[in-house]
Amino acid sequence: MQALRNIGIIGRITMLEGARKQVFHVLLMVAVVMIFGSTVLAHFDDKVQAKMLADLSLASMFFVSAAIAITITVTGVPGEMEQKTVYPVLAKAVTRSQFVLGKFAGAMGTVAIGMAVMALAFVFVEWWFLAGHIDFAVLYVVPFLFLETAILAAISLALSTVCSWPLAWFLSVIVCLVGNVKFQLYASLMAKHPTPFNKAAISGFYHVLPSLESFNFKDALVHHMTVPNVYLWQTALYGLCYTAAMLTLASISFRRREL
Amino acid sequence: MTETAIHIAGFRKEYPAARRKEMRLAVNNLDLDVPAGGLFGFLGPNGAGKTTTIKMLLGFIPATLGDASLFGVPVEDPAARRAVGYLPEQPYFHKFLTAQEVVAAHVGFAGAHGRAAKEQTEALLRRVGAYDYRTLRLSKCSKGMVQRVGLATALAGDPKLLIMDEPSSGLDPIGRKELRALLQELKDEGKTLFISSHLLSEMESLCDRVAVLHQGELVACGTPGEITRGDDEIAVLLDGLDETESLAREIATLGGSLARQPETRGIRLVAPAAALYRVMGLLEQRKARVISVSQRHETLEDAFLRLVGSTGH
Repeated sequence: MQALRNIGIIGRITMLEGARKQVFHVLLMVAVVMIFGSTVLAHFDDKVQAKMLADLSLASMFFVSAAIAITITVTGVPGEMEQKTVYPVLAKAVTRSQFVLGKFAGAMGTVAIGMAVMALAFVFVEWWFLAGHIDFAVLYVVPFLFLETAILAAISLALSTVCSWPLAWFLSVIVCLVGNVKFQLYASLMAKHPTPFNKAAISGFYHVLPSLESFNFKDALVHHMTVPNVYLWQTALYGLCYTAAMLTLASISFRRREL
Repeated sequence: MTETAIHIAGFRKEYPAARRKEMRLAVNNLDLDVPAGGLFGFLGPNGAGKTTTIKMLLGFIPATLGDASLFGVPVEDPAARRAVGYLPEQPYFHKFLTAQEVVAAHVGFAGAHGRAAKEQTEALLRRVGAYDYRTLRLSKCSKGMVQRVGLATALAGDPKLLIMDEPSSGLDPIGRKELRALLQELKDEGKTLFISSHLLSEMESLCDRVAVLHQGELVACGTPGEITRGDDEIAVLLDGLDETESLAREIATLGGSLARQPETRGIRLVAPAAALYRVMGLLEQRKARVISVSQRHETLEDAFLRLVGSTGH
């Protein structure tokens, strides 16, 4: 029970700190401006307009959420070590795993606040601009965007415990980009490099990198497609397992660090 | 039998030096027992290994060799830190948080929650004199104010053992006076205070026991009275003596010494206080003109400088 409380306290501190930073407000403002800005495409007919509105808004939500998550997690642990704020916390009966999980929880709390603001802006814009029409598919699209961001945050956190924060940030952005085009990239590389060694290496990377594209239900929302429940559950389970694995690696790595 | 608050056996810490192939020895073969209750001064010049030892005690870094326990619990176990409050030399907290938020978090880490946590937070802020600026963000607080908040976090959960690294750093004279009073109060409550400090005159009046660390090794440990030279000395300034060789021999038999002072053209005689009358008798025989006689006792600072060398290197 105390372990959960410790995680909660560290999470709350991280969230308060994150939510009070100007960079968070700026990123959030950029996203809201982009969501409202997508309504200026008034010269298209209503159907195209609705699709573009959803497409642009969800893309803004993902990129801003990913930027917030990566920025907070990648600087979280190294920043605490550099600024020595980690000492008073770990001098209490707080384990390093609790510290790592708390930092993750706090980062995701900040992302959740940002995502809630952006989702409300999106729903309001849809309702106002499309004469009262609201697509309720947003209710599952946004949670999956959140899960995708959680995977990225966990990867950034794990990377930040083994390398410097600029390198961790750079690698996280690469993972974010590659993870979103993984299937196409895999097919293309397999066709270009058919030797067994290359195939094994490509296949290895394919399985280690997260399939972030699986969490993208933007097209389903835009084109009003129905996504099978089984697929949704499988994707959610994959996301949770991947996040848990990354957090375990981050905890193990941070336990070995000399402060 | 007195309980042992801190037990260290054979602590050794090696760091990779600037050239990665070499290792730098920060602490070597350190054995130390700190009894529960009272104030223990952990002294040493910069780079002596004090902070490294504290970091190993708190589990921030592993020891290369040796082990330690806090109230019998190995330091590797986070439960060992349940009874510990720690104040780093310059406590850093999240600057976007208020003093109240920081202290409340530490009260929470110590296991309190709900109404009890709120009451404890307020009591701690009042105790260290930080209540008036509790809603101020730490980015707007002075170094001394942050130090007080740090003290409040160290006291969260009413720990039995307080480990403090230069606790008066950043405090003004009034703050230092209040800190001394607080340390005395905590000592009277029966807490164990393990303090690393350079302010030896302050430590001398407060410490029950001290340990002196030099170049990673323990060079002295005991009560301040045991560390300082017990016998007082007298220093006599003389004038009008032409022949000093025979006097110097006789003074040496009494355990003293004689030295000419080029700047005053006088002679300085130092001898054990117990030999005062015999020294005076010798001076009277030689009709020496006594300019001044003073008695001095070795302070902790004198002892520290004697033990580590005046440069500390």
